[in-house]
Formats: sequence, structure tokens, C-alpha cells
Amino acid sequence: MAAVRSLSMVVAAAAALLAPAQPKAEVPQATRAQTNYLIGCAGCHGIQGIAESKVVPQLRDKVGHFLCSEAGRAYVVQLPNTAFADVTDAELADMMNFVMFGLGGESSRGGRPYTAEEVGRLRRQPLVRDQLLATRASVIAGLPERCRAVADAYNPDMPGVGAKVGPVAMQDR
Amino acid sequence: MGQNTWDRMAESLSRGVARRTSRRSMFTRLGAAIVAAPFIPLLPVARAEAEEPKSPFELDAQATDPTKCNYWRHCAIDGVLCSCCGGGPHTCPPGSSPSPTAWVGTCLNPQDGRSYLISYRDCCGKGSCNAPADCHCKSMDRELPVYRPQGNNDIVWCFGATTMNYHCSTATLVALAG
Repeated sequence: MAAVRSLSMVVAAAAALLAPAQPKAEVPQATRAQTNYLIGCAGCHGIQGIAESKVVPQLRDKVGHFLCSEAGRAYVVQLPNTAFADVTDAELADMMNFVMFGLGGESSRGGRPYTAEEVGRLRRQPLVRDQLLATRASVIAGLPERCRAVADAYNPDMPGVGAKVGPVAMQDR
Repeated sequence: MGQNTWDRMAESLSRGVARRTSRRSMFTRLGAAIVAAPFIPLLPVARAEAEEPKSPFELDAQATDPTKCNYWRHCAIDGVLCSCCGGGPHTCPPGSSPSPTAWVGTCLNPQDGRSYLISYRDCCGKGSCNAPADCHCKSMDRELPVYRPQGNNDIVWCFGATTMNYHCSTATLVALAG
């Protein structure tokens, strides 16, 4: 898939740039959808969609499973950071399709791409009063069995999270 | 009769053109137009982008010394440069470790005038680095308010690290912005 190929180019070039010996390595050109992902999501979800699952959900090879049900495809768009992202409906649809099919890879097989119209409708009903972890668990429970592997993408109850990700984060430098 | 008028006008026009011009001059003008075309900005979009005012950081940015706050990739860094603390522009000093989370900004490269995505990652797990004052940077191009935390650099980006102790900050080139 083209998106996967271009992402792996991003990753390869980023890795090359990490080596101080090769500062002149060619820099990959991100598409608009990849740029929006990189600016709004990649800091925590990872440039390649690989995150520490104790901190934030891992997207790579996982997130496409949410396309297996209508509730799943609605949930990921209605999450506050998606719904309130500073992009238009069309840009958000393009970005979600990059996330689902580019980062999600095989997990999105057979899934239907988002349209601007669908994303626009969903994001106007954001999940603002939900207990997000509970909502997530019930959405995953409603997925067909072959798609429930997405549950492994996030393990917030493992040691290392919790109190540290709190008000201390706001301390002044 | 109307037909005759048009015929006469067309005839006198084409005879006039034939008298005043030669095939060679036509080629001269065509050649000049082809050579000049790339210098004429054709798209209003491109012009609008070129006229976007530069930020104070961008006016002062340089592309030679990555250990200075005004190095172009530091357009949105807030903290101490790891290069001043025994680390590198994108490596953590010994005793500290990179946070699993980072934030991504967009900086203009003065060398080619293009915008690049830069990942800012804090090194954590060690107390503050005692670096000279000019290693403490606070640039904020395209930074967002704290209620848009993924675009804010006032917070300590040690989420998910073993401790929230902030040591210093790194900047890594990710991609050309699209």
C-alpha cells in the first residue's frame, strides 16, 4: 500500500537522520494527511504508530480493527482528541484513512474508508462525558471476535502509569 | 455587404502583420517569452505563501550551529538544549533517558525556505542540567495553548517515563511538511 510504503520511507529517513554521521540524508516528503497526523498525534502515538502501550494506545497493525463495527468506527472519530482536532472534516477523513489503512495495515483489511461527510457527522457528537476506558472496553467487546486483538494495543493498568501522569506534569521548568 | 467589410478588415490586418513582422522576429519573441516565463510567478497561491511574514525567530534563525537556541530546528523548543548537557541535538546525556512521548512542531529552514516537521523529545530521569544561560531556549513558533497539550511546550514532556524529572530537550528532523 502506498501509504505504508511512504511511511516506511519516513521512518527509514528519520532513522538515518538520527545517526549524526549522515546529517545530509534525504528528508522524506510527508503528505498533508501524514503531516496532520505527525503534528497532532505522532508525539504520543509514535511517528510509525508504535507507542508505549502503557502510556497511549498503539496504532500500528492494531487500530484498523475498529473498522469492524459501526460502533468502532464511530468511537475513534468521537474520541476528544480526534473530534476536536484543528482540521476540516475532509482533512480529518484523509488523516483517519491514513491512520487506519496506512498505520493499521492488515488490521484494516476489508474496512471501509471514511468520507468527509461521515467524519463530519460523527465528530459533532464527541465523547465528552464518557468514562473513556469503559467506553473503549464495551466497543471492543462488541467487535467480531477476529477484531478483538485491538484490546492488546493499550494496557493502561500496567505499572508505570497513573499518578505520574498527573498535575506534576504542569510543573514549571 | 457586411461580409465584404469583414473580408476587407481581415485582409488589411493580415497584410499589415505580414509587412511589419518576419518569421524570424516571431521566433525571437517566442524564445524570449519561453525564457522569461519561469521568472513570472504564475500562481497567486505561491505568491501568498511567499509573502507570509516571518516570525521573530525565523528572522534570526541560522543553519550552522545546532548548539544554539536560534538554530532553525529549535523554532519551538522550550528548555535546555541537550547539546549543552553532554548529549547531542537528538541524543540524551548519560544518566537520562528519552521520554516515550514527544511533541511535534513545524520549522522553516532558512537554507531552502521549506517547512519541516520537528519532533521535540525531553530527556528525563535526572535533575535539571546546569547549562550556561544561553542554552536555555524558549521559542514558540506555532506553539498552541496548554488546552491543546499536544502542541504545547510549557509542559514537561516526560509522560510515560520512569520519573517526571526533566533534564533537557532534543530536536529531531522528521519529514518535510505537506
